[in-house]
Amino acid sequence: MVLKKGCEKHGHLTSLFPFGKGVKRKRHEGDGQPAVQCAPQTFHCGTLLDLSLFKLRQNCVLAERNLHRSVLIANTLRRLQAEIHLESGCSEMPTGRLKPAQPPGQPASGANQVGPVSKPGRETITDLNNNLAGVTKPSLTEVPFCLLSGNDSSLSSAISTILQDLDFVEDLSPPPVQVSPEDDHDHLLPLKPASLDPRAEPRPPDSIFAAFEIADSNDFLIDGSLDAIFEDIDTSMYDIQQGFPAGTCPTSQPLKTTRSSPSIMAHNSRTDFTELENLMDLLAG
Amino acid sequence: MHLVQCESIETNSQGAGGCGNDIQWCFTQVKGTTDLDVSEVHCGSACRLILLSMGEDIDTRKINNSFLRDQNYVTEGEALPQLPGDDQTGGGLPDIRIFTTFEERALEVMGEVEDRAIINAEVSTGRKADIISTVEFNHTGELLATGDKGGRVVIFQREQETKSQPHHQGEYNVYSTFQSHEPEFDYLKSLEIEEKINKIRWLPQQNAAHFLLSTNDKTIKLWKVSERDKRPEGYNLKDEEGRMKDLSTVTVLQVPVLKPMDLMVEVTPRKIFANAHTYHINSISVNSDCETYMSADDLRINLWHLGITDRSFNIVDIKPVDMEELTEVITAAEFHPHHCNLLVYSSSKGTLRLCDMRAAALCDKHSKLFEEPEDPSNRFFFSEITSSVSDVKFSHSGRYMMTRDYLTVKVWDLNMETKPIETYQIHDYLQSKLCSLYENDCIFDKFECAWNGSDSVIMTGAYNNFFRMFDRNTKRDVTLEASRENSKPRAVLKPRKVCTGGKRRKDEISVDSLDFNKKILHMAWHPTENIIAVAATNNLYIFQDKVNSEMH
Repeated sequence: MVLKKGCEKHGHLTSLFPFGKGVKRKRHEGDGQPAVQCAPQTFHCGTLLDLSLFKLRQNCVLAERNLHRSVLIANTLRRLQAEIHLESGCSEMPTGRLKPAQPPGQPASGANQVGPVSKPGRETITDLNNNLAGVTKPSLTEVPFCLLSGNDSSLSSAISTILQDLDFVEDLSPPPVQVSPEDDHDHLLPLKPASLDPRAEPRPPDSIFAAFEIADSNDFLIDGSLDAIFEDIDTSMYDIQQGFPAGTCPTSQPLKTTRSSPSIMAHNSRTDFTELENLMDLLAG
Repeated sequence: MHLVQCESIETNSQGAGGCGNDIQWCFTQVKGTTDLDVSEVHCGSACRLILLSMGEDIDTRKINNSFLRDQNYVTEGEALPQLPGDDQTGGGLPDIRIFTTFEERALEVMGEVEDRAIINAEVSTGRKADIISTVEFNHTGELLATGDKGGRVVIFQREQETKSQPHHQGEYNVYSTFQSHEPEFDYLKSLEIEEKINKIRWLPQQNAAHFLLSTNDKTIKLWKVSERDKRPEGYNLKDEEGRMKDLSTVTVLQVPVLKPMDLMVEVTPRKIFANAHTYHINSISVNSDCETYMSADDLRINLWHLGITDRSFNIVDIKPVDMEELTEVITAAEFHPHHCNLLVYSSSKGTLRLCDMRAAALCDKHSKLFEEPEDPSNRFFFSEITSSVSDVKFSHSGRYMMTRDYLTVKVWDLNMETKPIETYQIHDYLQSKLCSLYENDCIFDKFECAWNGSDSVIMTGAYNNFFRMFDRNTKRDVTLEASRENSKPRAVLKPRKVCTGGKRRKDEISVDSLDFNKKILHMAWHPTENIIAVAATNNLYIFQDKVNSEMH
């Protein structure tokens, strides 16, 4: 483990936590209490969030990927996000956070928005403008992720960098139906064309673990662009015999293919669509 | 190598094997390169030490040495005194020297015969390669093995009692050094595989030779350590140097006889267990049946037979179908010391799972789950990270097991799954520093822990080169420090104290002054006596209790 890597890589964060070796410094107020409390909670959460995302990304590019570390950071990230969500939920609803029927008084301060996370049933609550209350309870119990708004540009840029650095882009979540108009997705398009910024956020920790797997030949064969080319060819005979969903290539690990193919197909077609779009733009000048 | 020969002078009325706190620990030896910021007494000129690496006689694959950083302890230099037996080349046998002989000779050459002679050994490697990554006594305590980040294993042997050298009794001197693992490259993933030795485990001794298993992230190797103190002389066809004789000069036939020679320690790789782990190996554990052992990586545990290298059985697999659902990894695993069917593995969520291999071929379903429920009032952001178990060790009796997480050591009774029977706070003052420790990655440090021979005292490391001992019977604890500055010859270690708040007393050190780069992660306790080996970055400290060193 490289001790000082963290300090070197993000100078701005080290300034927030001056922590030298053997340096005498003033005691923080409230030393000795277990909870993180040095600064206002939301600020701290946000900083820790940045830090966690940075660490995840750092782990991806490290020569020796440490799965243990990534898992811990990802879990902490989830917890942080849940905490932030709780905080914003608290600030929204002074009467209580677990009353889904009660509409919020006003949109979240700082435009904290909540959207669905890869669950099909969430489309109805994908209105990103408000209505924290509607999603608070279900998202807390079912979906551990809390989502921040796309307005948090540092977060979105960190996420996009993480995604770009990943070896594998295995997005197994069906993309949402609605897209927030105010989110800036341009930099995410190559990878997740229709995904929301908030959606992208919970994915990085998960997708990162996929990167730890051995490169299966599967992943290269399941290529959306190939599917598009062969779309007009009738492969029904082939599929029935082999027992694979249409469009996928039979590989040495059929079990894995079958399990993951539906969502990959969806993703691939979307990626493929975007890629074609880009290509068309290039060709058209 | 830095070698500081020390003794204790004070007498101690306590018997050996007393309580941890009644033992007065004495600094005995330290091995390793110096720290930059520690001032040292240097000898006049630098010596260079000899290490000659072993040729592999089983595995004929040659790893491209251009990968290898120059890791030899050795380069032969002009300053080398001529050692006895320098010209001996026993017919193709690799040359191995014993450091003891060299050190003694070097001391004579240097003219320094005092206890405090320090040889400034020039090690041609970078400092990182010298960082000790594992420490392990063998089952009798006669041998002590250390592995480092550069893939080397150094074995120390305890000096036998001899009347002629009263100063060196009971001390550990280098017995053998060899390069266990080389850096490799995984072409499939375009990743370098570190040669760092993650764990060393000794096999119970069954004949004159010693066997040990050493592992890096991917490959486990079985090494045979044997001594050779006789060599055949009087071949008919070859002369002393191994050259073929001119047949016309051979007039009489002779029977070769075994003549004694200088002791040579041979280390040969006997088995290489490779390609069974996708993820990084974190533990190996030899079964009490002495035939099998297990290796655990982040998601899987494999069972091997010591004689079979081309296959292993997977007994635990916690890899989720969808890697995106991964929230927990295996952090450590160990076999029960007496029951060959029981094993325990710990997770990053702070749970322990006891598995019985008789129940099923796959032990995914645990027999017992040891988990202390999280206190909801004490929940904080980093509580999951701090609850991740970094080490698990069965007691010698087999009744208890001990786990080390970031802030505590817990002792569990195998019969009670709901909570540990004892919890010891190691450095609770770090609770308020967790943010910073998270930032500089110190929160991910994996500390080890150790039982003493009678399971009455437990020991674990901390920061600032502190290590802590807890007596389970008297409930007392002590904090000691492993540092060259504070380790005078024949010195009894003074207990240290960390001041957590309020007025700082004279000898106390405040939390803010702790050096988080100096951490004691690896350590070992002699199986029967009160001798501990503590690894502080690239130095190995050996401490004995006063009674022990008195007796020898």
